[in-house]
Amino acid sequence: MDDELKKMLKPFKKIAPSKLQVNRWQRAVDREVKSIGKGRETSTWYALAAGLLIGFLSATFYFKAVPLMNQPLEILQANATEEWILTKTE
Amino acid sequence: MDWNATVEELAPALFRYFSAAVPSHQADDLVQEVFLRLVRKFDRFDPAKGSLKMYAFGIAHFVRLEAFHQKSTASMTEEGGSNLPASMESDRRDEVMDLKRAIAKLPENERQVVLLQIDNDLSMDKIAEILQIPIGTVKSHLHRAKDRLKAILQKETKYG
Repeated sequence: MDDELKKMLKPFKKIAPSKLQVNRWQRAVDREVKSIGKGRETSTWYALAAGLLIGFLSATFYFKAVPLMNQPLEILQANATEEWILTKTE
Repeated sequence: MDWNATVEELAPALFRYFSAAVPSHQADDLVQEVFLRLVRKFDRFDPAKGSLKMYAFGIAHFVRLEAFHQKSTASMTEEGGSNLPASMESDRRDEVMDLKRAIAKLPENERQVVLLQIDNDLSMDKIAEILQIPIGTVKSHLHRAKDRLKAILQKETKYG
């Protein structure tokens, strides 16, 4: 840095935070680190719950809907209601 | 990451940076804000791009600009010497207050370069990177700021 400017700005060198201020900032940082940690923990639980729900819905679809789709048409028609047959034959 | 050690290491430089720009009680809050943002944005810190101190000063620059936009330059200079550390001699306090008032009178682009030079740890290219301006512009801002500061201090204070 320019020597003249360095000399001009020298009085600021005398300014320093007190130990109390530094402690307060350390505590604030500590709280923030903990709250971020808790936030991440909560996100992990949400992700796990969402994964389980998706798994459950996929399994339901696979075991209930897929066999139904694979059934022969005759069986589906045999199970069909009268209203359904009427709509199809009109 | 040892945050206690980081706070202890960076606090003096950040406190000086803000003390030169805003009233001391506000400097205290702004230093804390920088540390909180540093924790929140720590995953974006890339040691390959620069030191943690440089990253912290990048955040400090934006925090100061936000504070600057919230308050007018005039109100930022309104401060009695009573907010400066009690251990400081009265002559030194006057010197600091005169200098703070002089820095507040600089145009914003010159002021930000001067403030980043207070601890003279940051090189010109680091300052250029923090402010996202060419290094030549940093040099010219510094040169003009020095002349302007000298003129203000000679006119209004005991300096020179």
